[in-house]
This record gives sequence, C-alpha cells and structure tokens, in this order.
Amino acid sequence: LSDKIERMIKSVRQKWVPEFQLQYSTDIPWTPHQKNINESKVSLISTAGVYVKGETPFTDHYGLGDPSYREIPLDTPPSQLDHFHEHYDHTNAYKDINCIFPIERLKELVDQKFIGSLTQYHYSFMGYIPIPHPLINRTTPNLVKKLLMQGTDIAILVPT
Amino acid sequence: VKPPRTLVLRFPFGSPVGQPNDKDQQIAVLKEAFELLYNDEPGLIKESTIKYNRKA
Repeated sequence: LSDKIERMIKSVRQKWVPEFQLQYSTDIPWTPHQKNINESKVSLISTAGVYVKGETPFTDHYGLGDPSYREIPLDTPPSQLDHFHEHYDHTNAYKDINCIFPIERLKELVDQKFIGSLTQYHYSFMGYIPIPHPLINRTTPNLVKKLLMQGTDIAILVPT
Repeated sequence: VKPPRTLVLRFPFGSPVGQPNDKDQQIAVLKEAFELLYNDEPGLIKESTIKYNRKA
C-alpha cells in the first residue's frame, strides 16, 4: 500500500475508529455494455450525502459513519436538495448542486439524445463509512434490487 | 471490489463534476465518463484531460 493510504488508515484509527480495517479487493465486477448509450436508462449514485430537504439527513455518528442511502425522485427541484457530509468542502455544492449531484446535466443529456432516459429515482450515500459491513451486506444489495426493478442499464457513480 | 470503469479527474475534493455553474465543463465530464462504456477493458482507469481551471 502507498504511504498516502497508510497515513489515511492511521488517521482514521486515531481520530474516529480504532479498529478500522481498510477493505481491499482486486475483484472487478464486469458486464460488457451491450446497448447503445443513447438507448440506455441511467441512474445516478452519489456519495456526497445528498438528501431531499425535510427527510432524515445523514449523520456522522461521532465519526462512526453512516451506511444508509437516500432516494431522490427524479422530479425533485434542485432547490429542495441538501447535503450532509463532514469530510469534504461544501462551498461549490452550495453554489450548484450539479458539482456533486449532476441531475440537471443528466436531464440535458437526455434532451440531447446522448443518453436514452433516466430512472424515476436516484440515490446518494454519505461516503464516509469506516465500518463497511452493513453497507456490503445490507444497504448495497438492497439498492441493487431497486436499480434492477427500475430497469437501470447504466449506473454512474459520482464520488465525493 | 474495484469499479468496472473509472474516469480520473484532478478536481478539488467536493467538486467532482466540475466548477459550479459551468454547464459545459460538467457535461464534458459526464460525456467522457459515459464513453468509457465503449471500451471493453475490465477495470479501465482513464486519466481525463479536462482541466478544472480552464482559464489558468
């Protein structure tokens, strides 16, 4: 592992989770893309902690993280979106939500016929999850089922 | 697991799709990411040539 990753592991252990273990795998899930992009249905998945105002925000749990996700209906006005995540600078996201959750740009790509369509729901995690087991065993399999039910062809992950 | 296809951008933490209100830049980032689907190399990691500060 690189020195940078070793320093990150040490920092998480010192500041937040003493028993933190880095999850590392060389496995690459691979499905060749068969459809044309302009005929494909797209779902957006962000790790920026985006949620609809009035719904339960993410919480840091005093450094233990949050493995849950939020559903964001496609027709949610951008002014109704908020974001909670203690581990990145929100300055640009407050100016323009598309910096972290580019849903308006994806709608424009549908208008341009660059992509086929968008699913009815899009998703956000808060990308600070130092205890990953609930994410791996519960929330991610649950989200995958929702994507399959909506007929998602392409999931675009925007990490923050 | 590793992501099946990755576009790497040297953008600031907290602004992965581009500068606020720069629609052209954000669209260019998304298009380049979608175009990775035409490559059939599992685990492909592509370094984007898109610059965050275009006027710099």
